[in-house]
Amino acid sequence: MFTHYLTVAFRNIWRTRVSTLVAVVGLALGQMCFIAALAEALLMTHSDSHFAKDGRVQVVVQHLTITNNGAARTLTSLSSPWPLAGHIANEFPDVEAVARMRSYGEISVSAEGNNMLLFTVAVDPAFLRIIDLPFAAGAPQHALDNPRSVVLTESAAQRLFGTTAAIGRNVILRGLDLTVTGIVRAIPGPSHLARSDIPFALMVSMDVHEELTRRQTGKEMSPQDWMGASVRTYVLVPQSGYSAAVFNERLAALVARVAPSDLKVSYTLRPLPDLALVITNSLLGRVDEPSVPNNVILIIIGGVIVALACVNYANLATAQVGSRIKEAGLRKAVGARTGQLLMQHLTETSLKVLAAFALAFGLVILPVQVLTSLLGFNIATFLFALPVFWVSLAIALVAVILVAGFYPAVLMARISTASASRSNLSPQDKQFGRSILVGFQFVVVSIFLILSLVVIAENKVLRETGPKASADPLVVISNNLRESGVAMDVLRAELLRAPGIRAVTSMQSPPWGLATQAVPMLFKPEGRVSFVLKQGVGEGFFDALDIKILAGRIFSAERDQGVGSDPTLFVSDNVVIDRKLASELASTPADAVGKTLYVANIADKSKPPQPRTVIGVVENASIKLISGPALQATVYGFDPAAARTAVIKLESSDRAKSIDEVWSKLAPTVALKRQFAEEIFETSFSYFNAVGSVIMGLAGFAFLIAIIGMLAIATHTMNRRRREIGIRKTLGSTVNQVTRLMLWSFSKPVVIASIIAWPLAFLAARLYLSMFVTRAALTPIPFVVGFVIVLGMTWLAVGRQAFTAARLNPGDVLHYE
Amino acid sequence: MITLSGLSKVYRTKEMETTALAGVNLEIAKGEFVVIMGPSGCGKSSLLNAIGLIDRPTSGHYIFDGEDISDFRENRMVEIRKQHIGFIFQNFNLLEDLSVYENVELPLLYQEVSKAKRRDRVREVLELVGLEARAKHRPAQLSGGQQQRVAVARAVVGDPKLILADEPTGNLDTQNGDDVMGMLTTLNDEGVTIVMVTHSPDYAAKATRIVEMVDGRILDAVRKAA
Ligand SMILES: Nc1ncnc2c1ncn2[C@@H]1O[C@H](COP(=O)(O)OP(=O)(O)O)[C@@H](O)[C@H]1O
Ligand SMILES: [Mg+2]
Repeated sequence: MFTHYLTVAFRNIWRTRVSTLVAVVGLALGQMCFIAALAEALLMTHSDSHFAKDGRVQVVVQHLTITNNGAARTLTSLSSPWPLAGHIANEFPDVEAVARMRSYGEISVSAEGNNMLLFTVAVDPAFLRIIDLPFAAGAPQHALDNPRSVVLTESAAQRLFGTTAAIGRNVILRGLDLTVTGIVRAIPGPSHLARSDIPFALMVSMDVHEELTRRQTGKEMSPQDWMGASVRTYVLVPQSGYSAAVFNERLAALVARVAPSDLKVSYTLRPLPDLALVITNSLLGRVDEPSVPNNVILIIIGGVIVALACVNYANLATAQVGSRIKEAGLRKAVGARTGQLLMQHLTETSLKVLAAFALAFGLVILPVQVLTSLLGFNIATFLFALPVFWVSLAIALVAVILVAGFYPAVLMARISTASASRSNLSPQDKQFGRSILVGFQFVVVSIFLILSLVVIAENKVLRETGPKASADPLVVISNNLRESGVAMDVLRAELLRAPGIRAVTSMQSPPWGLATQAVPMLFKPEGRVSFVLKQGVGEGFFDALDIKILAGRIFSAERDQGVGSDPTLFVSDNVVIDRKLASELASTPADAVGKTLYVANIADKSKPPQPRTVIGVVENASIKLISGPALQATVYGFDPAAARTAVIKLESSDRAKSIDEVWSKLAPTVALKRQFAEEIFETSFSYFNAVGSVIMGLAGFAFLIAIIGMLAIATHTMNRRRREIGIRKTLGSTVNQVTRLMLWSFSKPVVIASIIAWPLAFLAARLYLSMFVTRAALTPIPFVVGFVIVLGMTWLAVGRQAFTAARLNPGDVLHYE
Repeated sequence: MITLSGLSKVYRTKEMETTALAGVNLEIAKGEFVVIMGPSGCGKSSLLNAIGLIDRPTSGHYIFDGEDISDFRENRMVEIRKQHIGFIFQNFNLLEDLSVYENVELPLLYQEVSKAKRRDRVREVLELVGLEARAKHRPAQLSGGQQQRVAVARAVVGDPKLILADEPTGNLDTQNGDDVMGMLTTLNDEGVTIVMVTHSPDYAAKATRIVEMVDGRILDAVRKAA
């Protein structure tokens, strides 16, 4: 019997090969999205599996609760306080190893006279006993046991020494002499230690960090300093008897005892492979522990697209059932049971779904192989080794077969036996069911389309907030000046003396970079806490960045003090605020001058909020792209000590050489890390551009699938309505009137779908825009334009059909009925 | 073999109700060759569908081989159809996607007959209708007469007790019509009960009984001498 199902399926597929191809391509497009989403989701939850020691390697995740504008939110991050690892090591003897990691990012390193920028981390020696790095030379587990030791990757060794045989040689880092004690090969597989997150080239022992801190602050790193230096904490839990719930409970008890009592903070362990998920969550500004994590969102998006494709398939197949009524009736007449017809039709669907799957699989997996060199690992090898990949695909396949095939199969199976003997068959019209199917597709399409238009609008706004092409070029130096032994005022004075340099200032973090700082503020002493974007700046800041002064004055070294020794209070006594923040305080910028703001002390609530005086108001300046949970308003503090990123305004970009010359004079042994502000902006922007491309791609896919469906349905419906058209024309209807009638009958589901899609798209768009400091206004335009596009494409798709049908010669149709 | 009493069939559509059968009483004995005649639209096909259990009557009683199946349960209807009834239609109703052989094989497939037995039996009946050479052809490659012979082969392949034919010669020329009629009489001679709808008085003459219908009712039953 099954052979019979297969034979019939193949023949039927062959007979209807064109529409089958359309249906299969539609399904394949949907499945492509799903496979890609699944692959990406698995990368989020299964990276680093090869380092995970069967779940024994865990990372500490911090949940810090803050109150912003009256609403409490819990920020989740991978940072944990410096002292935590020590407490765990002392009080949990069952834990096999615990180690901290502190990342410096790319910093200047030198060896044998070569200066270069290399990604550097400091770790406790035990780190090497938690994560088994692929050592090429040195003692794998003990390479960092001695102070002042460093492990290099092969490529770093090659760059520094011209050879990988570098054991025993010296590397100089911020003036400290370190000895190479290990060489590791390229980090295998998808891992947070390769390419993204922590792509380290140098791994130094933690005593180096302690020594550097000692030199910088003149103080020892305090085992009590809970909110000071933050690190990442890795834990190797015992082989047997470990229970996450029990451990987290013990950890909570420990933290309750040792952490400052005012801090609403808790810590949990997450298995190493989950790291990528936590990181992507925070990368996307989702610093709250999201109730729906990104991997699930991805799967849902992939699932929605695949559901769309399924619905589309069901639609086409339902239309085809109409032409198979006779067959179904006849089969029943000669003895087929309802179940057998159901199985026969599902077999056919299965074949098409499998074909679509093969196509999608090829189209997704083969191209991503190209990425192998970019990613540093073969994504196919990674995925194929995961049972969960295959299980998910199998489940998805069965789901697709059922969702796509069940409805048409049931229709086919329920065709009455008597149909075999009827001569004039008009298919039982499932117009209502089909309208819902078409409508669902267009709801999804509309949402994606509107969302992409909003993304385009926001990208345009972001573009405008970027460095102006007409303005003087800005160059950013992101070396740590203190570590480089360069004093800011010396650098400033030297640079201003060099040719072609207009202005020099400094700020806390690079303009247009993705890092933002926020500070908890109160607008009244007893008011609510709001997080406000904060920028600590040095002298000449507003001038160098061309930020217009609206009222009052800006900072001057003579009249304003920097932030004192207490870094938890962040902001200088006198502050400059932007127009947006001023509007929270007074009706005009001028009125805001002289007003008082308060900085809340979240680490120590016993201290009262600290007053700050507004000395000036400046124009809103978009020198940051994303705001995270903070208000889209900025407070500027005068903070030359914290403002360690030098920003230089040049006459023209070829004058950047002046900077190189000054730098090599001031810090000959430190590699200069300079970038044009434009480059920083482009890097940040490319990230949102990518998000936009993904949404637009999805919109495109959804659109294509829906239009394919619409075309097929149009053909089918026109055929079915030939008689009706004939009669209408006999009664005197014009070609135009009939065309309009047909167009309207296809527009109806699109119109209804748009109306359903609008509120959903509005919410999604608002959520997306809330990430940004400068937001595109959410106008009706994307909604209207999206509607016009969908409707226009629908008309294009069915217009020809409608017109051809409308021109039918009534005699022809009626004659044959 | 079949007893119908008070059988009625009402078709309901949005616009109107059509009474196709208005309380039909009919008894068909084993081995009979019954012809149903009447004007177009009088309910002949509806009656045949009811007898063949391919459409559920609106009300009435049906006894098949002594078994009362008036509740018309789907499974039982399928079973009886499968085991005991063969159909021939005016427009042949062959499946275009299947070859001649596969079309004839279909009822056996649904009866779950083993492959070897199916092969033998299909060969046998194709020989009977003289189409063994056309086994691999598709219906579209055959003439109307040949197609109807395939339909006859498909109707008899499962060894039914009862064959229902709805205007089986309606779309055929005289020669082919006569051939099909010949096959049916031969089957009847071999003991198969036959109920046939036809407009042709010539073919009706070969029946053991003619049932005339008007407006969903049986007018008159004229028993002819055997
Ligand atoms: N599926 C149906 N839906 C509605 N009316 C039907 C249907 N089938 C048949 N009829 C109506 O029932 C009546 C009897 O039809 P039918 O049994 O086909 O007559 P005959 O075969 O004698 O020409 C006719 O009036 C016909 O229009
Ligand atoms: Mg009829």
